[in-house]
Amino acid sequence: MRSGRLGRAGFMLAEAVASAALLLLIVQACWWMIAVQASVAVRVSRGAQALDETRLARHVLAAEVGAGAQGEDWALVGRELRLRAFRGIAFSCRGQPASAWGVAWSGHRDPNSAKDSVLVLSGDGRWQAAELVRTRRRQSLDCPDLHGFERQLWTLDPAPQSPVAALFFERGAYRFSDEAFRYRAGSRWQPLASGAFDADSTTMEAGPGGSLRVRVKGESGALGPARRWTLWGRG
Amino acid sequence: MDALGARVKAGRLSLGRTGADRSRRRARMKAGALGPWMVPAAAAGRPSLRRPRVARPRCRARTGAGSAVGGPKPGADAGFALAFVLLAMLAALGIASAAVAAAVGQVRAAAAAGRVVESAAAARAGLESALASAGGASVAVAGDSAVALAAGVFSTGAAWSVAAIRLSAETHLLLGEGRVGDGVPWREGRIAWWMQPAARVAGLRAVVESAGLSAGATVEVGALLAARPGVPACAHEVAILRRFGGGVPAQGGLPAPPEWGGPAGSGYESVRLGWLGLPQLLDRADRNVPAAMPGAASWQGLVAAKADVVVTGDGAGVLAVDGDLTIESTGSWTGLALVSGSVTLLGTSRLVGLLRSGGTVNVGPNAVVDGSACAALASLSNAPSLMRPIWFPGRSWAGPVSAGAR
Repeated sequence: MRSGRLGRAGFMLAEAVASAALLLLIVQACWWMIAVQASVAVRVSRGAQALDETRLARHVLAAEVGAGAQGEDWALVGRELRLRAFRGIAFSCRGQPASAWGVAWSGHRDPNSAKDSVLVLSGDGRWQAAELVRTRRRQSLDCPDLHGFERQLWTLDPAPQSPVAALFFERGAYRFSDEAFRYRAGSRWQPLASGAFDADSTTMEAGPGGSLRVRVKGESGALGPARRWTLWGRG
Repeated sequence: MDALGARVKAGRLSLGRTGADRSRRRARMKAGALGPWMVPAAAAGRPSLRRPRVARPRCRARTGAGSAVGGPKPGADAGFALAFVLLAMLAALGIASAAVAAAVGQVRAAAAAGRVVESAAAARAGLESALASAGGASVAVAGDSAVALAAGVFSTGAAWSVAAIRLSAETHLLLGEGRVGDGVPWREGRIAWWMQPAARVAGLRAVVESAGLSAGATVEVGALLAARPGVPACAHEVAILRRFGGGVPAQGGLPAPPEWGGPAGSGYESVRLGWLGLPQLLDRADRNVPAAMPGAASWQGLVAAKADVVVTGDGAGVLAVDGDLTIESTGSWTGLALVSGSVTLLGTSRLVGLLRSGGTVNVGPNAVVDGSACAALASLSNAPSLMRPIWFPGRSWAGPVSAGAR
């Protein structure tokens, strides 16, 4: 009787130990695999977010810097890129009312007299700045029918002499601060892309030939090594 | 103690009895060698209260086919580890799928961004291509609809097209559009200067525009719009009729900078025709003359020189000279003459057309400046190299332009 119990008990103990060890091994392997995969997935996800935001920052800066000339339209002041942010173009329609300038315009957004100014090209080839005082829709204007262009009456101050075309823009600035890529329209800095940038290591500096050099470093190495671009302004 | 007990006591693990164990035990039972507690009931003379033990494998592997009869119910805990592993694999698969989805999303986003860049590049390159291939007078009408200028497909597969809108006589807005596949098009605008002969001629305010004119010089202004041999009448040109129809002075002052005499380094400090400075004029010249020019009977297009020039024969065309110009007694010039220095007409020489000179114009007693807006117009119209558009100097890019909805 005793011998039988002993045999059974010993056998079960060994079995339990072996099973527990095996189970522990399997659990540990599975846990390790899941943990590694989760870590990789988090890195991939953060990297993807960082790439998205970097792509956005690059696209925005390339478009803004490429639309103007260094010194004339944009300049680096400290860590800020201050610029004329061009938002659209306009050209003169055939029939002109006496009170305002009839234009066909196109751009990223509607002209806004509250914040936009205008660069006007006159018939003698000079560009002159003016304030956009008022805009009114006027479908009856005799303008070329061109897709993407709408008709408006603009009141400018000062009134342009024989205007031919115009660019409308707002004053703005870009910078990298508090881990975010930010744009300032007026007095408020609004984040365009946040949480991906190491603001201390992300820099913008003027390069030769009217270029802008940008060095972007991702927060916690999300982007790997720092990425550098050279963006070119227009003459 | 039997063999099994000994093995357990010795700490050896056995997962079942072997065939030899069972044989030895059966032999010992038959020989009565078992202990009293294991004596068969029949042999002890009393009924047995216990079911005789049947030798059976105690335990094989608890999982799988190794489960023996009488052991744990098959499948009771079988597959626990397998289920656990499958669960873990499922979790890992989910995590990996999320990572793969993020990566695939990045590939798509990067491809879309690449297409945008490619479309923008196609629009810009299309503008350059259209400008390089454009020639002759612009067919666009000021205030009228856009005119298709050029179109094509780059080797990358990106399609492009360029349309021109005439904003004024010589100012055009060129709209370039690039598109990759069925993607959203990208549009770029750029302002170009495209010389119009009538507008250029109408820009002059006198037959001779110069810093000075010699006393007694003969400058005729009576047939400004009349035809001459080889020169058709030009009164049908509205701009010219408006400027010259009522008559213009024989001599007038030079236009103020920057129309004539731009700052040093601007390219317009000497000879200038519209937005073409001396470098552009030299570059576009149909004929560069070093010094002496014998002349030719027909229109010679644009003749440019970065030196003093002496005309010894008959010539016709647009003459741009960065220096002094002398027309000898045997020579004549028909057309438009733009000279940075002084101009001297010797003997019976003639200049038929219009003249702009940065210096003094000396006309000999028998020489004549025969004012003719039509000759100047004909010379510009017969200079195809001047009819190629250029990007507006300074700021020429005009944007952003909405992609628009078709």
